[in-house]
Amino acid sequence: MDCKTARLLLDFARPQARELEAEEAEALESHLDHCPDCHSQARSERVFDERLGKAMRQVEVPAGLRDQLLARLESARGDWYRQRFAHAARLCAAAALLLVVGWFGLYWVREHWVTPIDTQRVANAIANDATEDPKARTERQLKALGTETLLPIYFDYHLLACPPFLTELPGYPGRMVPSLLFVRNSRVARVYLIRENAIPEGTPHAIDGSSFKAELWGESGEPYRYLIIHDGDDLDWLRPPMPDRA
Amino acid sequence: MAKPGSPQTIQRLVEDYYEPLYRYAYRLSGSPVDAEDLTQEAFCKAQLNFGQLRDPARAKPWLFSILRNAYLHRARAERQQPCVSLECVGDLAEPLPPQLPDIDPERLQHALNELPEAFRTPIVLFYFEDFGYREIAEQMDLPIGTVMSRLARAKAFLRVRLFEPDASVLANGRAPRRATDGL
Repeated sequence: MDCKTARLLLDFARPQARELEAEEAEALESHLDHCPDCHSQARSERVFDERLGKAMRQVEVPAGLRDQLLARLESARGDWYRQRFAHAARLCAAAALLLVVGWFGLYWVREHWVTPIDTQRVANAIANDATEDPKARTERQLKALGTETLLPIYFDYHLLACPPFLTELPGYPGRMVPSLLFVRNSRVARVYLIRENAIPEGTPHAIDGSSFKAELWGESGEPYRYLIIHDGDDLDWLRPPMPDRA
Repeated sequence: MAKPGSPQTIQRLVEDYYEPLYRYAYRLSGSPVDAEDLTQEAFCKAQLNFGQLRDPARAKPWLFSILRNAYLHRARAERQQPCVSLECVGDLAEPLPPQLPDIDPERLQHALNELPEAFRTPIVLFYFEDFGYREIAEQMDLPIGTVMSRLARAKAFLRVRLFEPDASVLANGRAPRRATDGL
């Protein structure tokens, strides 16, 4: 090893520095043993390092520092938990506020929210009403059930609760006839369409003193007669409104 | 916000490292009051961020790094760093007389106070707490060559400042006679 390399390696060869490989350290020591100039340089460097290190470490540590640090850390730890508690409390308060707002919101929606309107359905209903008379529509629906007839004008077909349907004639099991269901407020009337020539014997023209009443409407010679079973005192409500009442 | 270290763990950290940490803080800041504050701050941050310490064997460099960051943060806030320029200081070792006197720790501190932090930290770590070049480089996030260069220049400055009779010239920014000869 030459002097230049040895002096460069001197920086790495200090006791604190662990960067020098064992072989390099050995070669350096060997060179220093045989080179008085480098030996002197190394010695002065080591003395300087020793003096500087010694002075550097001469710092008096305050006597109560340890206890002071532990007390401060304990306090900081308490602060941390207090902050955590405050944070958790804020979260809980925010969650509670959200719940309250949500509850009131739901209440408001339930109270004020208008059920969404099926516009298509409304449009269809309006179109049907506007384009087809309920009497004509009912006749068409009856035709679909196999009963082709012109309905009389003394029923208000706007009061029909549902399309016509086939049902059993009361008192005659197994005999299915077309039926119309009229409803107005709490009053109900069921109208059975019976062919003139097929009116069963004993069909009541009127039943009094019973929980229901029966009336047979229609004139002789018409294709159908109309057996009306209802629960009211009269059937005026079943008739279409007069023009002056409309 | 991670859970802080357990009281027992933190107490052990304090027991093991409060003295070197205080000394390091003192040599960095040059003030006993600041050193106490920095030591406290470093331990408080260590307690809060204990989860970041993956390897307990690395507790010492971790604590030193926290303290240095705290010091740098303060130094930036205070912006009071009357330092000499080391442009005029070389990094080649000058021959020293074989019989060196002991160095007065207070005089050493005055000299350290004049060094910029970038030079003060490596030399304090190197001489004071037995950090190797590699560890200092990791601590300061610098290449090892830069650390060696800064150490050499800081050492040259301290030689002049501590052993030259008219070393005050450094404070005036003029080149010292011996430290810069031939550089």
